[in-house]
Amino acid sequence: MTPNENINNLVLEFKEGNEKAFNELFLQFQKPIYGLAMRILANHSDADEVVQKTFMQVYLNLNTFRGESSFKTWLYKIAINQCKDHLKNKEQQISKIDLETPAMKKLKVQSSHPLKKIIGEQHTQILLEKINALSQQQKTAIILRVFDDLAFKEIAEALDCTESTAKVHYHQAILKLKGMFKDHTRGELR
Amino acid sequence: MNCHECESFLIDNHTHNTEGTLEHLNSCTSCQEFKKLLDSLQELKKAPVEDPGEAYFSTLLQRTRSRIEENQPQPLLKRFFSLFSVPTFAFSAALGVILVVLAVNQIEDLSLFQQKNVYGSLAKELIRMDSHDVSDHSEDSILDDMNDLDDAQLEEIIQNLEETMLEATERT
Repeated sequence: MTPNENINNLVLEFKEGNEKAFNELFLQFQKPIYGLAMRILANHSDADEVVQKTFMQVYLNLNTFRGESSFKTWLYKIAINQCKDHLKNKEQQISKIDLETPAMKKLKVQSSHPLKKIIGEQHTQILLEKINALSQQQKTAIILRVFDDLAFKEIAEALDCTESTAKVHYHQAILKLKGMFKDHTRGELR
Repeated sequence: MNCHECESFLIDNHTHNTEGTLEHLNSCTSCQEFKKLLDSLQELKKAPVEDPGEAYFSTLLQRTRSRIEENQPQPLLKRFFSLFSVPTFAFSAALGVILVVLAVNQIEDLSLFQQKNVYGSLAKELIRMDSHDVSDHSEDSILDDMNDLDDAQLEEIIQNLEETMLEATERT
């Protein structure tokens, strides 16, 4: 049985009233959803709240899930919407959210050469700062594509847009990052 | 191959290169930078998020389940059962009372989904026995598959039943 088939079976079992199936789904996805929420919200208690609310929504609304998208995409869509609502409630703007969590600050880029390591850490730091400065849609597209390995079709479903629009968000984000890096390098050279 | 084509290709096939892409990359600094950025993003993937520890994840399911319990639609349930206490609903009382007694005895042990099914069956029975004007919308579209109802739909049925009940009370 493939992982997807296994998930589909769990969804069906839960719809038929098997509570243990929900637990299984929860355990399979709790860490990825926590990771997604942390990358968007950059705060443990906020991420904790969003994870719980996301799975509450899943529990209460799984009967409305018709399987037109994958369960994973549906779950990510709920999680992203929960993050947005959470930010809205806190009167924050996603563009001001710091992706750079303490863990990311402590990030150790795998390298044996000390100088290379420093350059790598700086580069990662800068990259995180630049991603932070992207628009909400572009940033979410980057997070879903890079950190969660979602296909553009899945990103489109999660963002409620077409596949080509999702691809445009991602493409624009890369171009923008490229431009930002160019400016950054020019600034350093001056 | 132009830059836009090369970028689009790299976005879709970051780890694979065709001859055409390689040729373009060798002669285009801009696309080389584009590819370098995609590589950097892949490196970023290795960056872990702050690990809250296993203790956090080991209690997360339990805490979420407690919140789900707290958020079960009690008011809807209460509203539904309150329909049976009205005298003008006597025409459905016989079956209704039996169903309610059975349901009340068991309902707390049921999952939310099973509970919805019970509410659905109760509503279905009431509408079936009820000769009053429950709206066409309810009869046509909802009776078909009561078990697929979400909260909003269930809410609608209950509202219809309440309206019917009110009309019946007024007539009496």
